[in-house]
Amino acid sequence: MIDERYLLLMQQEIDRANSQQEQEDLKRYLAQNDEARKMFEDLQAVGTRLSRMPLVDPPDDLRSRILHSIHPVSSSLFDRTVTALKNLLPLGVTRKPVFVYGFAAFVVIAAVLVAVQLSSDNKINRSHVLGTMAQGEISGPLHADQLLEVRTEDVTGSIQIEHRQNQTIAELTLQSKGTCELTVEFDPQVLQFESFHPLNGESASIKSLSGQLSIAQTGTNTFRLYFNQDGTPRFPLTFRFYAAGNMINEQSERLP
Amino acid sequence: MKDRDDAAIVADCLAGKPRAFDVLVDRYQKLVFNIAFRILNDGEDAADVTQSVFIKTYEHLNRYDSRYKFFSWLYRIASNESLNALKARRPVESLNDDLLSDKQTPEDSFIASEDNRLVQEALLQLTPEYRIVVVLCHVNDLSYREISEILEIPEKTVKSRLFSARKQLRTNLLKLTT
Repeated sequence: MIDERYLLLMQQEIDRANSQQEQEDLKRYLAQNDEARKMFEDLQAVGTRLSRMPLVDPPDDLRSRILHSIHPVSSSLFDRTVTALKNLLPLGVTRKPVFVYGFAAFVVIAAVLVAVQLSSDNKINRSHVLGTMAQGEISGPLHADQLLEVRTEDVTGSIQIEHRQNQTIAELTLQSKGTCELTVEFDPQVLQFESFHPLNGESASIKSLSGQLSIAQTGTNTFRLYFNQDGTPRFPLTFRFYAAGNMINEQSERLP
Repeated sequence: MKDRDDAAIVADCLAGKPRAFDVLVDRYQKLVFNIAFRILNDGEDAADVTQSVFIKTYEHLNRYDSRYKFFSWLYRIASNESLNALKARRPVESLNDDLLSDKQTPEDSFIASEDNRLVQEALLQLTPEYRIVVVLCHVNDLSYREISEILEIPEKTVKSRLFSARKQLRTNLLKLTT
């Protein structure tokens, strides 16, 4: 039988949290109690093995993924609006993301339309804008060299892909019943996801992972995905569509 | 800039210098990743959780109370996110992409040592409540008081969970090696 006080001292000894007096008390106790000494040695060995566990290196692109997620978001009109709305909403009023983001999208669209009306000379820099629903063309019209059709009960639409010298652009026009999720898989050795530009629509959000984008969209949306390119992709862009967690459709481009 | 304390960097971010946050990402991404990795045992999931932790931290920087250590707050978010990801995890069947890649993954370098593999396996057999306490103590090298602040439980509970966890680990390791 081991006295509970000494169980605590054993624990603290392993964690280097004992005072000098406590260390001496424990030492005396262990010298006269074989069972306690055996337990202490075992626990100490476990502690040593745990402390020897090395830190695992995160993936090389983790830092850029984090910063890419943070800074475009922080600088976008849309998210500043979301933050402002969140701060304005009194406690007790629902802060459901759908409500806040939906309302923010409405405010941003209204602001953009008013700005366009007031001055046609106003230029809006849309580079690195994430999540706005601004109308208009970005980087000119697409000269797609591939067209993929999506026809399912839950989502319909088209995917146009254009390969430029140092860039691949995919323009998706999708209409879904409720929220549809899709992933875009790409060759991370060659393609680097650059930006997401909604052209028009209701609601779309994107999450960038290594070699994969995860997109949630509701209603009708048109948006473009820009990838920078360091060579010829070895794997095609693959689009997988999900409804209620189940994959319902898969489309892959033909590599040029 | 690198040597500036965390609270001053947070103050810079809140004063309109968002790029100051990059220093905090550099300083803590590995430790946050390791909390998630030890809880989830999957490099890709741990990376997702780490990304999500920093996004949430950044979005809620104005809630940070500078009377407390920044890393305590960050690790609290990391612990909660990791445990939530563990709860939400559904068993899925998927191709093992690692077999298709010649690049060494975090898991590969980790399991290079047989003893580390055994300890990690024994760790995974602990309940999440015990596992997080062990990870914060041994991987992040935090004190009882710091763990107590992060998990918002009394120090006494931290000690008792650590003790039970180590006893359980001793049993698990014995089973795994015999």
